Amino acid sequence: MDFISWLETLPADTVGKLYTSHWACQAVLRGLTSLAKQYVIRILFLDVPVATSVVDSWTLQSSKSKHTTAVNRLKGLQLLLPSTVPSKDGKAQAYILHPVFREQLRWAVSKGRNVGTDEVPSTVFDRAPSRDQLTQYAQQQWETLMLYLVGSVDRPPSPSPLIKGPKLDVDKILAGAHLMTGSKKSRSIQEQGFRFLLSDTYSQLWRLLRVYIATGEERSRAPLGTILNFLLQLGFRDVGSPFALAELDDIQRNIAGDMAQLGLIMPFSAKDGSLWLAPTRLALALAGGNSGQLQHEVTDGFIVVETNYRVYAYTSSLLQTAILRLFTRCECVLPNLFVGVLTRESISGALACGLNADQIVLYLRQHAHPHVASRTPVVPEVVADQVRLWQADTQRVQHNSAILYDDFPSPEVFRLSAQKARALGVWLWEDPKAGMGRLAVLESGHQAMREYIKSIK
Amino acid sequence: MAPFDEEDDSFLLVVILETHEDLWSSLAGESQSADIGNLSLTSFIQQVLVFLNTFLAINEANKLVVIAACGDHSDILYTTASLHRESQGPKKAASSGNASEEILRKLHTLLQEEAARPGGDSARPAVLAGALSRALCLINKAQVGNGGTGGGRAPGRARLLVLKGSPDATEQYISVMNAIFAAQKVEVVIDACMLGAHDSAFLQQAAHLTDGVYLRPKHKGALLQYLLTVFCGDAFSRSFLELPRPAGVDFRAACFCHRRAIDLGYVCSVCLSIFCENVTDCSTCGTAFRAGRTPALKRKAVGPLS
Repeated sequence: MDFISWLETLPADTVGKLYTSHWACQAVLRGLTSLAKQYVIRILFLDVPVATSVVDSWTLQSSKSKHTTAVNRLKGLQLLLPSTVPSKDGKAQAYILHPVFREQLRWAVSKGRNVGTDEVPSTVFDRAPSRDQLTQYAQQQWETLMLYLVGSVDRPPSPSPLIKGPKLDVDKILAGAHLMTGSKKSRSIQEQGFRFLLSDTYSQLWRLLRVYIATGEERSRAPLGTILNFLLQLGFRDVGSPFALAELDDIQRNIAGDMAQLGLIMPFSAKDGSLWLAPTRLALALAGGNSGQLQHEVTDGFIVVETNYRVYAYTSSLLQTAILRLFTRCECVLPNLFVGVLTRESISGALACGLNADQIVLYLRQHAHPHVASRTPVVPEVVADQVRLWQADTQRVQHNSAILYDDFPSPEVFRLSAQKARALGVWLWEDPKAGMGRLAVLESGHQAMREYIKSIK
Repeated sequence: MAPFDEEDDSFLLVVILETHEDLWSSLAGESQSADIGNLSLTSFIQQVLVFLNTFLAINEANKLVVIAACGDHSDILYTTASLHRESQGPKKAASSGNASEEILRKLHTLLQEEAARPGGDSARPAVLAGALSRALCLINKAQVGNGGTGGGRAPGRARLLVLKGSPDATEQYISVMNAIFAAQKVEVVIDACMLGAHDSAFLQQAAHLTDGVYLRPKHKGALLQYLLTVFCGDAFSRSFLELPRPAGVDFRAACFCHRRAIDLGYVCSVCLSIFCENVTDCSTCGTAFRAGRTPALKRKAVGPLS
């Protein structure tokens, strides 16, 4: 679930309010699928509605389904509003772009992006963290959070000593996202938590931030828009270009502190003692679609899977080894290498935790080492298939609540009842030889079946 | 071609902008007769800048290079910061914030330099071939940088857009065609938007050979809408969209001896050089055509070279 799908679930007037910020509008544009983006920019500079027939003619006949998906997405986000245009026979259906969104986006593209271009004194630059420092900081904070979730460390990532203010309640956020249950003393990771660990950083980030934004309203009494706008604006800044903490208001300062704790911004102090903030690479994911994340993943790949089910992971990160241990049997750990084997037992263990085969294969593929990333398929087919087969093995028996009917008054009633059950799609099993026949149907069909049998008796 | 990833629709766009007197005059000339909207120099630049900003806005990983083609040289007006990796520090990142400001500033100095130059230069046609080659070099550099470790992800992720107003300079025929074939070889798509009064055979062939789109807008005042509608899409969404199809491509070649555009000519049987008149030996490969015997040079229709 990313930013866009989350927006779709919000009520229309909340979304409408969000569009008054051009940061939100730009972030929405980036989050759309590529075809939907094209539609938005095609009608961006039109002041009059566009007839639906015209919009429909934009795509090739062969790709109608893509077209429908894109248009429905745009409608769901309130971007395409229904309207009418005069035509030969009276009025024809038409679309118009959300007027507020249109104005904000027009303004944004006419002006060009200019966050982070404010004057920054050179004395600040001398102390600004380098790219490597930023990446390291972001990784450290984020990994600590994940390790805390897994239970490998006892403390959540520490807040920055530089920013004063209330501390972020990490437990509450993790619990709110249904990743963990229990309080500080008896924490335990939930099924969804394991799945969360395997998803990419972008989805992880948004999942936590969604809870953060929702709980933020009660925590600081800041309206949803304020928090979201600050976060989105953060996403449009260049990585590493500093901005002053002093220019933020109280609410924003609190949010900045929380984000520093999560590793999205790195605080540092200039020579004169003033506090500055530098966005890290994690912050970029805030406003970007998935693509920025993909590139990020490619550079970080470390896993090689061989056809003999052996997994080599070139990593020294505790978190990554912890994740791999979820579904592999560890063979050996060297300073920079983890070697594990995918076995039936290790996979069943992971499946019992609530993971599924596709997630495991996807994780192995997304984090493939650059040397194997260009190979197709990245994960050998035999391995991917076997993992899926192991999952299918665990699902040989299916449980359904059912009702058993017997003692039918006559074989005719039994025959008709069985026929009716099939027609309703609730038929499970029948045995015509036992007495007057026996019949099992799904519990959901019980009401209808009882009435039917009564009527034909 | 690399398979297109639905989620990653970022690409590298190299825009070649002709900053030559001919372009301005072709824009101005049109404004007197055009029925819908005239396009002044200012509004032309404004519309192009909005287009470029939109391109940068739709995906944060989009990269942009703007090259100006002037009378005797080409000049880079803007490059996305991430493209020059070696000089990447926080100081550098802060100075290159706004694309439009940087393009305008560079364009201004460039035009002043051009004006200050002693006369005669302005009469020469813009160096399209030079700008094309330069663009291809930049694309190649960017792709080698990406593809070195990540595998074959890079091809198909770069595109060239030529904004041109002046008529074709037939004396550049060979070098332009060579650049086009080079682009075809490395799978770089060339799009073209012709703003002059007549179609450009060079650009038509370029778009035809590289699967690009060639467009000569009817209503130049609405240039922005044309640009956004046709040239903003990435390769993935392009495969689903209806795009303008060429009505016909001018395949005429220019002869190697006088650089005249010709329909019929003589072709050297050894190196396929084209001549407009019967010559005794080929100026390219030196083959001697002996008179009196079956002429090695046959007069035949000059078609597309590929």
